[in-house]
Amino acid sequence: MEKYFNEISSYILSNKDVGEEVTVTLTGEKTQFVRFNKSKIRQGSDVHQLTLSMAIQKDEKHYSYEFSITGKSVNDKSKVDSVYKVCRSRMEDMAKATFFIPFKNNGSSSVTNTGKLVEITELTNIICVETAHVDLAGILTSGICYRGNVNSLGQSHWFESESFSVDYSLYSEKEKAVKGSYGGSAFELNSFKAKLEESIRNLKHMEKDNKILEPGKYRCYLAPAAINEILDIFCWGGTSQGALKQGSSPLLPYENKGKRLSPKFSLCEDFSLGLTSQFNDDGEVFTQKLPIFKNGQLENLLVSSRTAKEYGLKSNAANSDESLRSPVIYSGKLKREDILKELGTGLYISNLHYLNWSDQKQGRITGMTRFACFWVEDGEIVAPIKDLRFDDTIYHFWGDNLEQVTDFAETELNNHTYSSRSLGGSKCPGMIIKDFNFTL
Amino acid sequence: MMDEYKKLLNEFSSACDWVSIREYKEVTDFIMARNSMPDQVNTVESHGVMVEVLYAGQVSYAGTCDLTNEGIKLAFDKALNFAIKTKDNNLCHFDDSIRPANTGENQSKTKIPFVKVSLAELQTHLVDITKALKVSEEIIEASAWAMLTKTHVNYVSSSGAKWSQEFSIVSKDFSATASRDNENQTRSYGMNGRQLGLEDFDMELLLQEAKRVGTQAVELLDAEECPTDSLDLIIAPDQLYLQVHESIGHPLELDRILGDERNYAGWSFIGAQDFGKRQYGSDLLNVTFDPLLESEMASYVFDDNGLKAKKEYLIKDGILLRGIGGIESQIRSGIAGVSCARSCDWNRPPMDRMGNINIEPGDSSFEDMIKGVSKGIIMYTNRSWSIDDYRNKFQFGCEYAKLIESGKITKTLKNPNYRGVTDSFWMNLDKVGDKNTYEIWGSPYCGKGEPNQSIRVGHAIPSCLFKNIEVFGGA
Repeated sequence: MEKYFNEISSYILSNKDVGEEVTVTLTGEKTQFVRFNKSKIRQGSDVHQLTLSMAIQKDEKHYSYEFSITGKSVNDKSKVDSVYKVCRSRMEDMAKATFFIPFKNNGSSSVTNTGKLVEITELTNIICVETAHVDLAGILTSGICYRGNVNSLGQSHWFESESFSVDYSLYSEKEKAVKGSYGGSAFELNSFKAKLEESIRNLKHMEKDNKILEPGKYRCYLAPAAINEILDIFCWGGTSQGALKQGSSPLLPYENKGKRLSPKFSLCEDFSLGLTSQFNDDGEVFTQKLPIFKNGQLENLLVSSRTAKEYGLKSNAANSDESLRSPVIYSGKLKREDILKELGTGLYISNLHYLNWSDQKQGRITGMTRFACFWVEDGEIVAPIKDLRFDDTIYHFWGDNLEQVTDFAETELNNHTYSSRSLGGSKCPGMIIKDFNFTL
Repeated sequence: MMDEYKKLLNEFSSACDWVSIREYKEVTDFIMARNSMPDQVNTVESHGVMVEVLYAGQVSYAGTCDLTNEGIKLAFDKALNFAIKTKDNNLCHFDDSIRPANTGENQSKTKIPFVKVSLAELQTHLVDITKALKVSEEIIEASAWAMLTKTHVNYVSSSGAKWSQEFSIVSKDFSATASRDNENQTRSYGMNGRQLGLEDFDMELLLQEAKRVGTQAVELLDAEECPTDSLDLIIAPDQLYLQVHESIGHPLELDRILGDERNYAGWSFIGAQDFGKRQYGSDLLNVTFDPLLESEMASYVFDDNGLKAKKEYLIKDGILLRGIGGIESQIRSGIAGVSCARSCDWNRPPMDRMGNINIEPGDSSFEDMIKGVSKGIIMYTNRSWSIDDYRNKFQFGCEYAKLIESGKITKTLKNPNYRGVTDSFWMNLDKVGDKNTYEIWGSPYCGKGEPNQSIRVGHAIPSCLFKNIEVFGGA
């Protein structure tokens, strides 16, 4: 695919007009999705998609046109010709860009992560057979993703990655559920079986009747998957310099009202996870590691070239939405075997669901407990809980109320598939939080 | 192209029990303005086909952007190969009756087509809107955007289906953020999408609305915090549409009830036994699935299984009658459904989607609703939403509210929120607004499914009064 991208992008660049500069971006994938319900196949779909984006600059005007291509040279060159025509016609009466950022050569890179993927029908049948004795719902995703970026000033980046994931949940007859996932670049049957057996063991813990808790403040252990959900919503505006300038950031109380996070909280954008390309949509290359919070102190926010231009700041090659693409929350000292003992009496929360800012400008987040969540007394699991809604601010649960952080962290792949497969992921530890606020 | 696809189907059909090709092309222009200046303009075009194959009772799918005959043939081979090699592990066993052989054409009704106005002119309009939003120096951010979407769908099947649909959709929003003494408040028009042409850009009206939005953003800086209490609550259509979406639309989806969504969006508190019996809300609650309401965002004549669209009551006089499930879910569950199998693009299979879910207007005027309230709140325009995976425990936040005391509106309130449980919430429905309170809203972003699909939905809603709702303010 890299060869074809070079061919079609060369054609695009060789057809630019005098005075034009052009950036070409490719997003592509060959993916097989298999959706399961009751450990059987509900829907299987194969997707082959290639999308090119042509961003054109001329006379300080900027316009981009994204379109599907076939992967066949004759058809795609003809499409490129027609896209050029539309772009040039539209740019004629278009206003100059308010904060014009001319393209530049941000260098070159090439990363290829090759996997050992099992043929999709074979893998599908393995999953159905191995899970025939349980009730599994979920999705198998397998295939290759491509990202390419070149411009007329000589910039050139390529990233491709082969991977698979099985994202699933298991259900008991009483509708109790546990969540699990298994993925990587090579499927190993024994590892999958071990993961599945762990999930089945966890499901057995759920068989007791639910303990129904009244709303209120509870001491909690939030497992890495739950912290990842909070981090996911925090990234929606929380790391953006633009959002802070425009008055919508959850860090406004940090900036203006002296609110602080705990010294136990450190957050970093860390591309050493190797899960996504280090170059952004404009081909700008992000530094490998950038601390966001260090021991509770804000060190950096993400600054796109656009925000930098508008507010007279220095860009750090963030994406246009200034959200983290490869975040890591640093581990602490709490050992896995001490979690229940240190929790004492309270809630063990494995997953959270449907989080949203309930008051973004104050840093308040709401969401639900989901899957395997338990009531713990004196360090012993007593019973699963009926689901609860939390509503609390980052200045509480990542502030004074953050008591301990685990000495391990878990990597979670970004498995979003809106329009196309997402790349990236995050790494989060678990946390013990006191007085976590539940409202319903 | 339809004839070309038909030839390919003739070639494919001997190897399987049934096959179809759905071609989907969508072009969206996105235009934005900020702080009295033009901002980004871009265009996104998606074009491809989905080949759908029925073999040994299983439907398999392969989508491709390679629109050459060779590319479509390769997609067919992949879908067929998957169906053949996994046939022992199917959840469902269907025959070709699940894909009706309907024919016809459908097109959104528009007065001013998109081509009549250039993107540059539209951007000038948006700049003017941001100027109108800035009613005071306290407005620190004013933005406006519009999306113009043209969608073409062509569908042919080996059993004789042949239909095409063309949609014209305008989505837009604008907002202002006001700031004073380290407090910021944002007020917006409310994201809305309709099947219309550029007649939806009535600049005289939009400039008036922009001034209102800007003025209310500043007004919120002086407003009292929403109280924490259990009060009567009037919910305006620009919030109530999302309440309907989350707590009626999603829990009634038959694929959720059947468990397909358990790993992602969740299950439902509704079970198969509830249809025809369950009192979902007070007897004032009448909810319809109406894919034929002109200009509503998710109107269509055929769903993506080729089933003809028809208006149906989901809830009548408070009783749950019908689920939101297409033909496959209806067969699997034995529950009456609707024509709602839809996909968001060429690269995703159809599944149960809510389309247009509407509350039928009642007979209460807005004034009558207010007069009957001794202490209550009116909430406008969604800003936060969250609900559990069974669609029971919800919490919503709004941008702007008014306090009602002794039957009169008295004060503006900031940071209004409410929470509750679906079951009891709809039973507390006390008054349903009349046609004068009725508004058509729509969102381009309803997320669901594995792989994920974000799809357009419509909700036509009157203002409604609820008794004893838990309300609260900011952090």
